[in-house]
Amino acid sequence: MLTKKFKTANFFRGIFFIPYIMSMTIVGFIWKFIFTSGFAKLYEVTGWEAWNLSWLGDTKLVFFSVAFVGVWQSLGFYIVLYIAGLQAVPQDVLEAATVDGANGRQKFFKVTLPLLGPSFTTCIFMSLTNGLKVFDIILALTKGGPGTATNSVTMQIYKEAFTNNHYGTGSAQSIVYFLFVLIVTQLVLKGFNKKEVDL
Amino acid sequence: MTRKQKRLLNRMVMIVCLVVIAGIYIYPVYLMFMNSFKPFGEIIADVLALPTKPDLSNYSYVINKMKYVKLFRNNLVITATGIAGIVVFSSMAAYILDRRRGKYSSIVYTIIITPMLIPFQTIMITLLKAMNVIHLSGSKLGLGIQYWGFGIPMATFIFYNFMKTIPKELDESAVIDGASTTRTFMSIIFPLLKSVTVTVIVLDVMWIWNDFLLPLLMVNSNNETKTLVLAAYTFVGQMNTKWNYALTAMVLAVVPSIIVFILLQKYIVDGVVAGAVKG
Repeated sequence: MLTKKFKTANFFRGIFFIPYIMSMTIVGFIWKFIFTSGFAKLYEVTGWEAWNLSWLGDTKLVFFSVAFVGVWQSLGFYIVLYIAGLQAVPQDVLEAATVDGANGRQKFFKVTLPLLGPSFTTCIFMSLTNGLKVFDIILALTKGGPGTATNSVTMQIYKEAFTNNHYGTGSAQSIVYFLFVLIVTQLVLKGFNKKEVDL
Repeated sequence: MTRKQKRLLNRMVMIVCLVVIAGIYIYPVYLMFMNSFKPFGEIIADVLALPTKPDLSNYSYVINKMKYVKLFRNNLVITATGIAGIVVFSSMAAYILDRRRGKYSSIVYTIIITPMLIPFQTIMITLLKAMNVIHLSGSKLGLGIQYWGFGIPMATFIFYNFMKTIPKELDESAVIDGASTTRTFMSIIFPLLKSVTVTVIVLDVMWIWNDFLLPLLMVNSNNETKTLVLAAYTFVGQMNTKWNYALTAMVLAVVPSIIVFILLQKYIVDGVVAGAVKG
C-alpha cells in the first residue's frame, strides 16, 4: 500500500519507522507505562474488559504482550524492506499480466507475491534471528517474569553468568545456544531458497 | 457516479484508513511525549488528557539528575570512535582483499566475515573477562574499540561486495600516474565508495547509539562513562513509580535519534534497506 505514489507517502513511512530507530529498552519502558497506567485509564473510559486484563502479570498473557511490543518496534523496518521488494518487481511483467486479462487481485497473488520471494526470505530470516536474540525488550518489560514465563535463552545466559556468577554454566549454555541458532537459521534459509521463483 | 469519481473515493478511503492506522501506531510515542510535560498528580489522574499547562520542571530536574550533557557527550565519543574504526579498517581491508586475490586472501576474508554468524551472547562472558585483562572495559574509548570487532565483519562484507563493481582499470591508471597503493585508495577508491560508506555509517550509528547489552557489561560500573540508554535504564529503574521523571528521561534518550531521523530520513531508510538486502 505504501508504494503508491502520493505526496505524503514518505511521511507515513517515517511514522512507521520511528519505533525502529528508538532503543529497544526505551520501547520496553514506554509499553510498560502503557500496559500499567494507560490501559487502566482506557478501561475507565471504554469499560472494555480487554483493557483490564493484567497484560504483564498473567503468565499466559505476558507472552503476547512481549511479542506485540517486539512487532510494534520492528514493523517499520519490515515495511521498508517489502517496499524495496515491491519496487523491484518489474513493471513490464505486470503489464503483460494486464494484457492477458488478469484483474487486480490476480495480478497481486499470481505475479507480485511470488516475485516477492526474496523479500519474504530476508524478512523471515531477520525476524527469526532477532527473535532468538531478544533481550532488551524483555529486560525492560518484565525481567523474565512473572516467574519464568518470558525468560528467553539470552536472558537465562545473562542471569546465570552475571547475577548468579556461574560463569562456567553460563558459557556452556551460550555454546548450546550458538549451535541451536546456527542449525535453525541454516535449515530455514535452505528451505526458503528452494521455494523462491526466478523470472 | 462516474468511474473517475469512484476512483477518487477509493483513494480517499484508503488515505483515511492509512491516517487512522498510522495514528494508532504512533500513539504510544505521543503519550510518552505528552505525559512528560505533566506533574505526577496529573499523570495518575488521567493519562490520556492533555497537560493543563506545559510544565518544564520535569525536564530541568532530569537533565540535572542524569547529567544529560555528559551522557550525550559519552555517547558521541563512543559512537564516533566505533564508526571511525569500522569505516577505516573495513574499507581498507575490503580493498586489499578484493584487489590482491589469492589463496590466502580468501582464507582471511572467510575468517573476517564468519563472526557475523556468532550471536553476541555466546561470547559476552569470555569477552568481559578478556577486556578486564587488557583494560578496555570501563572506558569510553575502550568500548568504542570493542565495537570495531563487532562491526567490522558486516562492514567488510558490504564493502567487499561493492568493491567488486569498481573497475580495476582505475587502479591501474592511478599506478601509471605514479600513485602508491595508499594514495590510490585514499584519492581514487575511497571517494567512489561514498554510497556504501553511508550505508555502513547509518547501520552502525543506529546500532551503537542504541546498543544496550555491551555498555551494560562494560561501562555500567562508573557514572562518568555511562551511555544515554544505559543511564535512562538505571534512572527509570530507580524512578519505577515516578512516571513523570521516568517518561522525561525516556523522551530525552530518544529525542536525538528522532531529530536525526527526521533530518536524514532518506539516507537512513535507504541505508537500512541496502544493509538488510546485502547482509
